[in-house]
Amino acid sequence: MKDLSHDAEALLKAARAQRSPLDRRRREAVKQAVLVTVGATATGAAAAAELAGAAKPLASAWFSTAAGKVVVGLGAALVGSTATVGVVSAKRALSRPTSSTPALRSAAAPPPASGFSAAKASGTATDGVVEPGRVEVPAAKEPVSTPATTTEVIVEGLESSRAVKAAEPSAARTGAALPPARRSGSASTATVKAEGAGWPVATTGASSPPGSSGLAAPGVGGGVGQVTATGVPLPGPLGPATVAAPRPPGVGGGVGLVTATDVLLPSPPPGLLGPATVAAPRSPGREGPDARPVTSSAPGGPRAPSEAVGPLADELLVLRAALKHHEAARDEAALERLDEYQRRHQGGALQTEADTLRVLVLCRLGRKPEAAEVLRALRRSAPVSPAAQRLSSSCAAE
Amino acid sequence: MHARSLAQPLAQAPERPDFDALYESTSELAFRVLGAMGVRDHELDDALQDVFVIAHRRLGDFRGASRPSTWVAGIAVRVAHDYRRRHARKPSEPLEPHAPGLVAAGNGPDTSAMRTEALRAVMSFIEGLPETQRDVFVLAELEQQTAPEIAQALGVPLNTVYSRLRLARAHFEAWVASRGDER
Repeated sequence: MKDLSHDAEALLKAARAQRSPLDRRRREAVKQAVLVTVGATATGAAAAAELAGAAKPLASAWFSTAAGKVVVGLGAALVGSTATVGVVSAKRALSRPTSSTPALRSAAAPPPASGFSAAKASGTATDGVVEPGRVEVPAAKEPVSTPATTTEVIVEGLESSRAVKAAEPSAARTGAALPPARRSGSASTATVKAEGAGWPVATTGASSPPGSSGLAAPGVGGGVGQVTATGVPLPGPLGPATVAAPRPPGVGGGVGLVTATDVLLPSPPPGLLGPATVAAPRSPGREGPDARPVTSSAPGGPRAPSEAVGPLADELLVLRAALKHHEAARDEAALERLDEYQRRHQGGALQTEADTLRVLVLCRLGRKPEAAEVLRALRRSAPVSPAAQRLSSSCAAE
Repeated sequence: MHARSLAQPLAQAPERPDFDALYESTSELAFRVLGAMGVRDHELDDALQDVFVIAHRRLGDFRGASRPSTWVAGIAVRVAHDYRRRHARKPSEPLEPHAPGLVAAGNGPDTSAMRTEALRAVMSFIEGLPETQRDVFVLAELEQQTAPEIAQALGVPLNTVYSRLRLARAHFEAWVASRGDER
């Protein structure tokens, strides 16, 4: 390749020389934040698995908001036709950037047991309709002083059509059956409110038996479910955040998406913030605990999923579009979206699902050698995945 | 970057590092890549944290097919994309070459001012590149990675790297020439 001109090289050389190194303090602070995030996520996942009655966590994830990191653990169990997903989240007060101090938005210490709020939801499917059965919100293991909070949980699936809303948070809290509510067209929303007094907040649970919700693509056998959680926002704006996790084996290898917005941000217990953090500035009018709404949902109501587009949500949107094209037999268009997925999210959380769908699309397009190649790669990267096993009956496996 | 370095083979792939070693050896690189890719200075720490939470979670999947630095650079590029999409910079919004995370301290005032201006200029150019060319240009010309390394980091064919780099360089040459004309 032709070398750059002298002027161009000189300019680049000067630019390279002027970039600052990552100073030691900053490097160590970020490392601690990484380790704490990883550790807290694992803790949350283990707690969620216990909550869901699963032998081990299905997945764990973290996500970030505009004001900080929220650690979420997911656990799942499948009993009969009922899939139960436990979601546990923990949150730490986080720093906001200042003019001179690069701030870390991090969990500064592993969340204590009392720092979790937890919820479990289970449901059953009838004729492809998700019907949440009950929601349990265990009390915090230790009383905490933060005010009661309300978290609204919205379960959305594109193919299911029933919406359920808990009449009273207390009913949800005690595990009482939730009444069926309204049908809402082709997209469904199931809303439950869970009231808890735990220190962090934002706990959700969703259930989706096989094929009962989300994008149940033929042959993919699972699909995408979505949980959107909105909570009481304090103190200061929080942005959208997302977390995705695969469904348990047997459910179909799909993906559940949890989107949380405006989760509660209580003041942290003293001593939990790391040295690199600073107090988050509060929005005017939201100062102090008295300003905290107690039973209302987030201002403005739940946000549309499209408003909460983080990286994982974006992956989901692209994949969802590809699935819809495939279901409508528009496989060329589906392939374009899958190519888009590769360009934007190669190696992402939904890579296995994208590869699985790609095999099916290529098969339908008669591009068997390419499908076989994708399947081989899929089996190498995820040899025991339900998706790879399911594709054993596809053209690619012949 | 010279043609010779672009074509040189990858070094023998090392064994999988533990996280501490990985962080120690690649955090600087990730930090630079994030900055060069346009992540704002006040978001650099968060973005760096995201890079290494991802790396920590995926360390078990790292097969040593590439150098750890290549692997981390690829993650950093994707994280930078996410940050840029999330917080799209407004056209009128100035770059932050003066930000403490981007500009090195030290040097004499003249040298420092000259380099700061060079950095500002290069960052401005990079900001205007299409995303695919930006990825390649940053890794090649600022991080001085080889084309095979870039191909691995970005998960694209080697010829694609050459093609994008050729285009980006042509744009850069033209841009540098136009700056000279203005003076």
